[in-house]
Amino acid sequence: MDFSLSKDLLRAAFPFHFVLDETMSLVDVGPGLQGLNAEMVPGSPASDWLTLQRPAIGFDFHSLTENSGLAFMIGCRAVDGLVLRGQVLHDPKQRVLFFLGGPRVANFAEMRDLGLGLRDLPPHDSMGDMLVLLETKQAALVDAQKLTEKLTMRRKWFQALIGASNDVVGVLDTHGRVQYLSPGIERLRGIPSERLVGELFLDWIHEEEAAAISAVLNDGNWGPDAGHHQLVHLKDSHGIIRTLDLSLRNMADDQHVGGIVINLSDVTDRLELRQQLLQVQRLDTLGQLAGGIAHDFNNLLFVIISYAALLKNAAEPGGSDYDDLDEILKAANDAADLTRQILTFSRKQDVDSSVLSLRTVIDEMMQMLGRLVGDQYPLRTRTEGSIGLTSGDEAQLRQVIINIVVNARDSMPDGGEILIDLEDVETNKPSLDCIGSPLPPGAYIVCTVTDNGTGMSKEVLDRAFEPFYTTKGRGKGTGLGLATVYGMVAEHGGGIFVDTAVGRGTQFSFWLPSCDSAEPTVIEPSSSKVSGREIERILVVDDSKAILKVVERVLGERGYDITTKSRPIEALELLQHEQVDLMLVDILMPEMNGMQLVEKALAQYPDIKVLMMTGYSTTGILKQVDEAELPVLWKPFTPSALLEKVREVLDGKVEQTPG
Amino acid sequence: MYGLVNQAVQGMVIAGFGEDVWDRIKRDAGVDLEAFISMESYDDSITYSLVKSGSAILNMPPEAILRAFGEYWVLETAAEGYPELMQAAGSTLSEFIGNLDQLHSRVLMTFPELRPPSFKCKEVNPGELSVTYISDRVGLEPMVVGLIEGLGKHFKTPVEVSMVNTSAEPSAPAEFLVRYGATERPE
Repeated sequence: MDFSLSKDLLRAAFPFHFVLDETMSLVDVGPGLQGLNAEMVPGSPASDWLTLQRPAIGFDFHSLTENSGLAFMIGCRAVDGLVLRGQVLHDPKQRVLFFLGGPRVANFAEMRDLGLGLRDLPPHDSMGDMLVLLETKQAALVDAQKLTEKLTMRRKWFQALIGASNDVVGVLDTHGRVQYLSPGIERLRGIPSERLVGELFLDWIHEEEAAAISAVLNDGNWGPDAGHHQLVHLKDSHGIIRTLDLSLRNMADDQHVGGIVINLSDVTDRLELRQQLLQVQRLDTLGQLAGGIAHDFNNLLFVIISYAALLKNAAEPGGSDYDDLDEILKAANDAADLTRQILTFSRKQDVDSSVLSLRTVIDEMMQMLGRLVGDQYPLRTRTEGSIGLTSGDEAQLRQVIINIVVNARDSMPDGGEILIDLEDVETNKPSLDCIGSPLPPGAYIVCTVTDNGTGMSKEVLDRAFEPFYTTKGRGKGTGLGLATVYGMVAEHGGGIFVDTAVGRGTQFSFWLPSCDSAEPTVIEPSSSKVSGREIERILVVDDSKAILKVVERVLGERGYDITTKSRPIEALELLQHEQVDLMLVDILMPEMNGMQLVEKALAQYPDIKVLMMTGYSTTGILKQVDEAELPVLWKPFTPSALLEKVREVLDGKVEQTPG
Repeated sequence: MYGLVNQAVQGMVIAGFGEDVWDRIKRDAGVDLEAFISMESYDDSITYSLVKSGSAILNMPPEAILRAFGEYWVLETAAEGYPELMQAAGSTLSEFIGNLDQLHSRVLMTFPELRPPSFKCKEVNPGELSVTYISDRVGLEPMVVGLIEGLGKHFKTPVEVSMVNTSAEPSAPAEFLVRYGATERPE
């Protein structure tokens, strides 16, 4: 069956076709081509509208016929940029050439610039498909680019977050080898995290801890998402052992992680702080306990000393009673010294402050210290630069130095050098963690006593400042030496640092705040009122009836008119209808403390003289007494000391500020 | 559906309500994907879950979400992402809708798993088009309303779309009547 393609079908199928006769004139022009150039009509010469770009042959009927198997690219003069791509077919029967093709465009933008759209392409033309493909691929590329940027930003965000964290996070393989560790590990190991990949984490930590973790990793029951938590110790890049809080989570089966997630948190400082806090709390508690005991003990001693002194006064010198009573008094006074040391630890002793040079104090002590420690222990001092002044109680500071030096000596049973260093130190740190309360920034005088003795274990150091704790064996030490040092240094606003290890010796430093200049201590001259020798009336208030009895006897024998009251309320009632010259008041009493009683009494009777007495008081009440400038008599005291002080107060030699 | 569609849902939620809301919707829908790849095929259930969660979290009926999504698809996803393609597909509302089937058939070359709907368009009266929509997915007619409204805005042609009937089952035709006014010409 013969058939041919009609002109209309040809125009529909190839809207950009054209037909040429042997004279190279246009016989037919497709509607698409004509739509772009309406003047391109049949009959006009092809060369007026078209130029042959490829192949490189002549634009004549013969050449085109001869090369009709090739792909042709033909430019359109009238439409800037339009190139038709297609093929030329020769119909010898009709003696015409058919060009069948369409516009050659690379994308939709070129198509738009030519004034064309998808509608201009026949459905079979795969050019449209290719353009859609290119357009969508281009959009997908932009998409991928945006996603890459987003992921890069997210990665940097996580890196910054992890980098800023004090913790180290990472992933280990199931054998404990490092797959990844966050940059914080460099602070611990001193090596960039990427260079630690492949190392066995367990090699970095203490052997026993590594064994425990290894057991967990190898435990068949330690399944997906299981956790493990323990403290580990790792030597950092400076050789310091750090305590790390380690957490592991088994995420080996998680396709995104594929390993054991590790988190390391450095808790060294936190644990040390907690330890220090516990130590301070323990020492404070012991201080309160010791102070309380000292109070009761002082009351008893006061009674013993007073009666012993009264008996001794009545006894004949040289007699056996006289000597026995003297021994009782000596023992009681030794006991009083002991309570004074306990009170020093609990920081309830008055500090008699003056500006002094610690260097001078130590220089003056050297001979005495040498005798104290003996020839086996050469003493040497070393001073860094000029040493400033400090404010303190010289007697107490001497005691501090003696106690530390004696400790150094006792730590070297076979003898050894004891070095005393002095230096000025200025610190800007917000707080220095020492034994006791942290030190604020500022200038300090630092005295360091170094020995190369047995040193102390951490356990011993933790308890070294507790009263009655000693490693010297029964009868060789009271256990009050370092407790006293602690109390005295703390009372001076200073701090203690100890660097020690078993077998390595001990460096014991105490820091005292330095002061700028030596301001002379001015002692105000006391007024010397002359009192009459009429019988003076004294009201004694103390909750201990034994003390009331002995005070009444001592003062009564001296001719004073004594009234005693064991309750402050009763004392106040008495004052309403009876006149007294002096109130002798115990500071620490139940119901109402001595200071409250005195305030009430002086508010109504400001002319009454007041003398406070105490064996132990809380810092708060003592401060009030001190601010009111009331004289204080510390128990235990002797009858003569009591009489002397009472007389001084009555005579106005000791001033008091009226309430 | 291709990631392109899910990307469009994501874009619409983020533009209107922010990243946090999108994250909530994704979580609620159980979609654990950081991003959608435009040329990757995803299960239809992901898109449906996102619309369902969006409806609950945004307190909007699913129809309203689909309609808003249709408009967003034309004005943002297609016009912004494929401007040349949009332009090549037609220069007027009716021409564009008339060319949609041809456009989809060309797009199929690129997205072989695409199951695009079919659109037939007939001018029943001057300014009135009857649009027949056939899809093997049911319930997306509100999105078609949004698409035509979006096209109206794209071609600056006021439109009023009414649903004549909906398809009760997959591949059953649904019909819309589109009344449109004169296209605004740039001054």
